[in-house]
Amino acid sequence: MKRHSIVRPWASAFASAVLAAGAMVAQPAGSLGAQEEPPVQWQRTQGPTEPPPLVFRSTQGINFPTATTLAKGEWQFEVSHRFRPAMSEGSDALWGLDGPVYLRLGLGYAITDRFSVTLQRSNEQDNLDLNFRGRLWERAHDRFPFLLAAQVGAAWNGELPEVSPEPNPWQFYAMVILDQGLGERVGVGLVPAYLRNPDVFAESPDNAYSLGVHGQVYLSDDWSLLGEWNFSDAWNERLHDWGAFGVELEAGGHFFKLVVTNATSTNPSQFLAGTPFKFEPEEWRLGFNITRLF
Amino acid sequence: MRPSVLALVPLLQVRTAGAVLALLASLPVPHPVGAQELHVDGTGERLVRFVSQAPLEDFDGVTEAIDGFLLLPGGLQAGSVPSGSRVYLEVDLATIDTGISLRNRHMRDNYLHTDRFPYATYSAEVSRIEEPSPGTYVVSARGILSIHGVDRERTLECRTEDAAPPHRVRCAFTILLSDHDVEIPRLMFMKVADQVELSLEFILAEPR
Repeated sequence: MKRHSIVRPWASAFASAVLAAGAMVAQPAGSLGAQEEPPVQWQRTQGPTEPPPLVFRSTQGINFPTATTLAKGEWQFEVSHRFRPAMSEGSDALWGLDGPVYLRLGLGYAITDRFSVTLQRSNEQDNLDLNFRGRLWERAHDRFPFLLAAQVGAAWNGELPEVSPEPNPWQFYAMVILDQGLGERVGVGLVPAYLRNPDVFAESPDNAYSLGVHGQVYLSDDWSLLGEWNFSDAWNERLHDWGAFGVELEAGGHFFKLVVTNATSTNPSQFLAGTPFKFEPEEWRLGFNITRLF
Repeated sequence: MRPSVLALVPLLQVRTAGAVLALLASLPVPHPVGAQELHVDGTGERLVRFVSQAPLEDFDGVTEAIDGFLLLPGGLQAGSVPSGSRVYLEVDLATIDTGISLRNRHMRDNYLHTDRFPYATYSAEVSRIEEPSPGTYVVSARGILSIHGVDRERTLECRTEDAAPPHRVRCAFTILLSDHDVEIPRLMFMKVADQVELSLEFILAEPR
């Protein structure tokens, strides 16, 4: 027993000395792999930079925001169209492309790497939307990264008909954004949301709650398929849940999305309340989103 | 059974010897008298910049994440260079900022593959030190430039106008992406040029 109690410390001490000496001679630079190791005093003080985790490459899906944020000081310009005639109107309406359209223009700016502010306007009731988004927490992981973000916003509808009772043009909303990566090429997102005053024509403001689901499959470095669904209560003429699916191309600082959907609204205070159209092929509309970073 | 105090003596001796060995091994390797090892000053001004020409507009990327050392057994003196004069530089490629986060990610993930090849390194022997004008030194080195896991032998020249440390150093050279098996990036469906211009600026100072 005694012999063991001595031999083990010998081995341990000798091994620690050899390892320390070996580490000094063989790895002074702390370099990776086969990269050359210079035998000098200099040592790398920190490892290579780990990029922030990412689930979705774009800051938005089709309608829902993602937890991906812009880099500090970055601007994002967006133009989106939703063609109001259904594709089922056929060639006479050029499958809806003849219009008219609901158009959204947006401009976002990143105050920090985590927080951004966006001003966007839809010509549907001249809905002017100001929102703030923040990436609150993330878990880096090679295959299963997770990001948590939140977005709050206020919208003012500038073009409402003169009816009685007088419509309330103000709407407010908050969304929690939970993005989960599933491997290197699949991401899913959940967007539970609260909306104040979903029906601007109601006698008094209501509270609405909804749940958005977003999924995306990245086929290559540039192309991906994506889809969304919004579960919500019925509000006024917005009787139905909406869905959307499409394809995304990422090129040169742009994201191009071509989508098919039963929702024609583009601003959050409108699409969170649902859509007047059923999710049936006869009611599907074409649309697109283009974002440009600069 | 507990061991007696005497029984612990050999054990303490052995541990002490091991500790001394480990301490000796951890001491810095002494350089010959007159040798000068200078490190890239991590708190000083540093800038690595690349410029790539594209059909519509040039684009560039910058980073401050350069580190490394210069070992000159004979100090910075024009003339013959003692053997063992070496330079090692490395750039943390994941930090390159092209001005657009999306393009940064493309650079990291699609072209440089920084998860597998996080550093660009240059490890070389100093081959010549010249003083073309009083107080201006041009240091030439020949060695291995490693980018994207592909090694290429390169001779690079750097210049300083400081005779004593800290030296402000400037280097400029070009590389071909194809030399390092880096796919030629595309901007809006158009490829950028294979040739990339690189410039380095940093300060070499005594180790802190």
